[in-house]
Amino acid sequence: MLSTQFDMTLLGSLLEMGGEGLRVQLIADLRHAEQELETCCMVERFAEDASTQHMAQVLHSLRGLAMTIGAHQLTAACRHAEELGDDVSREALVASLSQVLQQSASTRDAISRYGRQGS
Amino acid sequence: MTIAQAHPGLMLVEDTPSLQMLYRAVLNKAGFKPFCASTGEEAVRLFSARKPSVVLLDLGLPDRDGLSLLTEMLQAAPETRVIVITANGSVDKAVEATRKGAHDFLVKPLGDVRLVSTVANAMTEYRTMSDKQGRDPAHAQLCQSTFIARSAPMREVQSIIAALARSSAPVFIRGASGTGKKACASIIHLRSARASRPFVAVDCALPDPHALEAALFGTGTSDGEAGASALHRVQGGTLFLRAPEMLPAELQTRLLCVLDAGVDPDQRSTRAPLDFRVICASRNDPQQAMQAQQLRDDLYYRLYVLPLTLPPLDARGEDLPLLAEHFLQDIATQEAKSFTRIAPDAKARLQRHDWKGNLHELRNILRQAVVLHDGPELTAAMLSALPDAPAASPHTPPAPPDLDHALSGKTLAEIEAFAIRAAIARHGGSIPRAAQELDIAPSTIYRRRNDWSDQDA
Repeated sequence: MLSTQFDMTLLGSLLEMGGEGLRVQLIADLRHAEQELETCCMVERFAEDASTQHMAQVLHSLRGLAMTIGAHQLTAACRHAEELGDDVSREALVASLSQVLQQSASTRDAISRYGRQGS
Repeated sequence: MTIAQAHPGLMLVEDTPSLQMLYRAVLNKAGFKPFCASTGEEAVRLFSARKPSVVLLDLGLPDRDGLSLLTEMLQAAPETRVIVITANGSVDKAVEATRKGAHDFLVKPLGDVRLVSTVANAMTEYRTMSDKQGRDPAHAQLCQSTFIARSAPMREVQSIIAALARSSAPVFIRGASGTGKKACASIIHLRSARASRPFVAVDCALPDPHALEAALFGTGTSDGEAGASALHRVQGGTLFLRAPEMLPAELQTRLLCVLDAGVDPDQRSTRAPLDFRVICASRNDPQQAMQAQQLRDDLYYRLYVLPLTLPPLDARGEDLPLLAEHFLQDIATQEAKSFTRIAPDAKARLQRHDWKGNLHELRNILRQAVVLHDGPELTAAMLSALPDAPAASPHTPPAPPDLDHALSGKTLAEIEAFAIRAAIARHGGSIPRAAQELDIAPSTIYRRRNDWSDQDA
């Protein structure tokens, strides 16, 4: 399962280079992005400029992080959400963000478990 | 002088903490000590206070547009080398950044080799900009090649370089032709406390001793003429001497006086004491040169203080494909070609080759392929400059049939004379260069020529 979602070789080499500090920071950054996106989902008038710009910024940063650590499905989910456009329905946007949140949580889990199960 | 003053400053602007941490770890490992900003506002403040020479700038900042920040930095300090970082899919923004004056751009995900080599390139360009040698792409490439090091021998070299850069004592770099000795010297200089001062190179194997004297010491006694010499241009910086054992005896004596007294005895009008660090490089063994009385022993002990030996390319096995890809991309950019990758069969062929010419040869082979073919993929068929068969062992080269015929029936002395005369002819009559090729002292050739004259008479 993980092998299709992640480039474990890349992730492993990064974690070896950055050590435990990087592992903790990666998890914190992913969790922070999730919280930001969850807030965006809860905003009633999500189409307001400030909200959409912030969401786009969070998605862009999250995609950069995902690409760097080889989290392919999270990258794809972020890209899909970024490309939805301004006139997308709220339901479609929430569904897309839910995918991002799910993949981000999965990525956090993989980072958390990497090296502890001999993976 | 503080560390910040001693080293060309590197600022990293990245808002995602884990990425900032990761890039910092990669750069630290390569010997760079970046200072970091997480927002545009913080970047402006640090840029103004610490005046970095190179900036790694993520364009996607939370509090301001990265492109406007780039413009602001370049307006304040146009000489700054700014490398922009952007996510894949935002390449248009990166291209716009280069139009606005960015030195280069990196697309996420960043490979560690690409990140380090791009920073190294920017550092080199920043320094060489003020150097009278001007921009030398080949030299810049070789400088970067020192940073592309996954092999154990080059990792060892990197750690030695870091130690040598902290010292101010003379360094003597040894290595075969094309291993990047000058680039290595340049890196030591860039990381030393003299980094803000000039790096001046002198080739001591210049065939004309008068030209060599003029290049190193100047020829006149007026300040104006002396000012053009390497010794006066290098003030406060690093003097790089290639093949110092090739210096004529009288110039060795003069150099020794300069090193001992800090003044050039033949430049009487010079007032200021000379202050510089010496880094030498040679493919020859300086100890053997001293024993052969080619290099003065007192000069040998002044120059051969901190040794560093560079491995040949064949000993850098796992570095070869990385170096090849790095050179390919740089050469393709220079030649306006679209090469982006190397096919597995081409990599295999490169790995099989016996790289006697080391990095120079690798670069030349790739340049031939890039110039003669079109990308995006370099294939084995494009490497026609490489021999089809694996190269023979360097220790037992089989003599070509015509050479075998030419030497048959000759005595050892006659074969030696044949080889020496051929080498002199290849170097346009230059005995020092012929001696260097044959790995013998020039005095040996002079003695042999006298012997031949006596025999002819």
